[in-house]
Amino acid sequence: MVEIARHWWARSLLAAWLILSAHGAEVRVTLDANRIATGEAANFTIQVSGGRAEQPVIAAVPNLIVDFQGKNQMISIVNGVTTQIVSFSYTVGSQVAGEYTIPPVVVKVDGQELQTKPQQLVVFDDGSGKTTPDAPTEDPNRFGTMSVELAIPERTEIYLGEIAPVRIQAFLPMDAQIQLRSIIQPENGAFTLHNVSDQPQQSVEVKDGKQYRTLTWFGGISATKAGTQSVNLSVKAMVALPDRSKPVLRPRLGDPNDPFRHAFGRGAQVRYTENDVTLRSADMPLTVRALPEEGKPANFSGAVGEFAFDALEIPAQWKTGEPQRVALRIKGSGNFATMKAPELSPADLWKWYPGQDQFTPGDIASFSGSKVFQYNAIARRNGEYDVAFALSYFDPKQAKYLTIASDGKRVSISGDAMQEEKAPTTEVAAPASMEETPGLMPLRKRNDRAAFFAGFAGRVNPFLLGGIALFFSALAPAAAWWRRRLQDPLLRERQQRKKDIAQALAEAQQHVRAESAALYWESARRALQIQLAAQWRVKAHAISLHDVAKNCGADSPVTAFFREADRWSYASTAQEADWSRWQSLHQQALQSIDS
Amino acid sequence: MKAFLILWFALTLLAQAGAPPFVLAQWSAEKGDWEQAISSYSAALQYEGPSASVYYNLGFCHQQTGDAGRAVLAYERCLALSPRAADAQNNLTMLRKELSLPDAKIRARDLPAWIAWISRDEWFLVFLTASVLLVALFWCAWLSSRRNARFLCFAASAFACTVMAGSAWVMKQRESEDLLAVVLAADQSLQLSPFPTSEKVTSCPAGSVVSLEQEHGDYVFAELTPGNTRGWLRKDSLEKIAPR
Repeated sequence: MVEIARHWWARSLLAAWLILSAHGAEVRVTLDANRIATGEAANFTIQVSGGRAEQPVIAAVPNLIVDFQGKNQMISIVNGVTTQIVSFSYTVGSQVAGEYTIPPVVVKVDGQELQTKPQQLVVFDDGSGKTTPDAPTEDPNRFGTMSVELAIPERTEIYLGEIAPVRIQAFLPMDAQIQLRSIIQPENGAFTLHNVSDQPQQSVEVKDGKQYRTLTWFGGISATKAGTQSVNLSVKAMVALPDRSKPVLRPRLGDPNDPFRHAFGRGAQVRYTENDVTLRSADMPLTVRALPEEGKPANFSGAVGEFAFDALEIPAQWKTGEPQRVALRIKGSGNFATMKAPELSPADLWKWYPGQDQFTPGDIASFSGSKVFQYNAIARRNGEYDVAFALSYFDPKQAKYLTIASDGKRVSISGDAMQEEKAPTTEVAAPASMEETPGLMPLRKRNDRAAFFAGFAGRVNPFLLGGIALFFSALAPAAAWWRRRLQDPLLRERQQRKKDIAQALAEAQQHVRAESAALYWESARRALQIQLAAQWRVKAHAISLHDVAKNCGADSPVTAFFREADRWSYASTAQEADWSRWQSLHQQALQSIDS
Repeated sequence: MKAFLILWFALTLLAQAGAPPFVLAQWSAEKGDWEQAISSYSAALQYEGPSASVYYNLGFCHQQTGDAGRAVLAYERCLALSPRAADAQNNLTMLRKELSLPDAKIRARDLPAWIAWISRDEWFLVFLTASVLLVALFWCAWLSSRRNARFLCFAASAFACTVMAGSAWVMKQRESEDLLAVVLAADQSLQLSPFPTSEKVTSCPAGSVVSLEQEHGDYVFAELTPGNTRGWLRKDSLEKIAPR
């Protein structure tokens, strides 16, 4: 029973939710103005909420223009209830005054059809008079035209291999929107286009009394075969032109006091029709002459134009068998593309490998400019030679071949003459694939020493090393000061004096222990004499009791000591020794001198 | 005849066993056995240390086998050790032209060309020599008793100090070369983010030189050289030019 009830409740809830969700869908229409002038547009919106809506179809009404503008979708969540709102926006209007009814619109919402109410729109004539659409014109050049001409218009002939600079122009309607769909290409195989500028120059020009937006490219053409040929070029483009076959609505002016009146205006709603067209230039006849066979130099590589050597770089010192890089720059105007690296002369002295080249254009069409060649050469023989580069080209102005040589450079080549490549003597043949890749430098035969990538630089901090170096450098002044100190004569004299005094005092102590009074007095007096000599700048042994009494005073301990010493030194009879008094007297004398 | 063959075979084995890897690699290269030559040159690098000649020959062999990424890497390593190697420069230029890769001027970017003309190791030697000279000259200047000699020593030590500072600056500037790597795998994608499902910014053909920045998982943020296209590349698709 409980099971039945539960089923009953669940089924009831599901049914209620389904009914509510179906009945929850709502369609509303709004028309922001019921009265507009001819040519103006009113906004018509169909808003669907509570379900998924398909785009409705509005039935056609004679003279009523209905333009679909877009679809907006919005999801709102209020108190946990999610609602989906979809808006379909249209502009409606007419070029013909009258009363119009926008018919009921059927909207499919989750499979259910809902219908809107009809809307009334009054279109009145505002007197502007622009009610009749422009008649479409059938101008064959309405999508634009194209032209090609030589940069030197008086020229009517070119040579095979020569690049003639050209100017290519596309004349496009002023009101058109253009998108180029291809690069400019020759219509037939008689000519090849070169170095066409990537970005065309844009300008406005008047042609045949009509204003055009003009795109201008610069480039060069070269012929592929001799004879009279026509230059035809074409480019594919999408040209979007205003569609004048349908009336166009303009935004309503609205309330003149509305500050957002202009800010939110949609501007001119011009319809454009896109056309994929191919613009072709008119035939430009040109006589193509073959290059003469007569007088063609052996090293002619196809360069046609006017060229000159600009700079060169040839090392002065060479060693046979070792490759070195040579470089040169050629400037001029003409067909640089077919120009190959000029050879080093004398040709039999050198073996060389194709290198790299780089062209630097001097003008927008890359007709003039300079080309740098760099390649590796190996000297075959030793000796001293005058070396130069040689280039042959055809000059179309003079209609003849010319060979030019660069400035010579004296080079010195050392080493043994190179062994010419011979067939391998062993059974092992030279690797075939090495010959299949010409220009590759051969394998190295010898290994060289092991090296480091970032080397010590990567492992040892250079700033730490620099700090250590500066530290050791800073030790140098300290060392110099110490050295100077060691060599100071006054210091050395003082040190010697201290040493002599210490020796004399030590001897005196020895004599005290040996109880040799006469010798004690002599040593003790010598210690005093050395100290006094340093002060009085006299010889130590020359200081007598008389000098001491005179300089120190008759009552000084030093004079008393000298007096006692003389008495003991020159006494004829032995006297009783009083060591403690003598040593005390000696100490007093020494302290007296120090103070 | 049989004994002669055995003897010949034994002698060949003995000779090969005793020969250094570089010589073995040369033999293989002369035979056109590029795979064997690559293996032997790699062994030479392992046992004899990095050398410009081995890297050059390794690049040549990779070029012959069509492994453009590894060929570029080996030539770049050769040029890192020996920047004035004309043969490596020539082959690398040709290879890049063949692969339609831009000529990556990766050394001493934004610095005068002569700085790149000297390898980083050589710059370090310049620095070390200048340091030793600085110390020696400074000591001479302070300890010399002759006035002229002291002046000369001071002037020379000032010069040595300048060279030392200059070379230290160059080494510091060229530290960024440690972060350069070559893409080895063909047609690698430079991605917008370091995840397999990320969008592709552009493709990096094998042999492209990139400058590495930060890492994230299996990916590394890299900038294509030359140019300023940046994105994430798989780590296992590239190898650094200066191995550690």
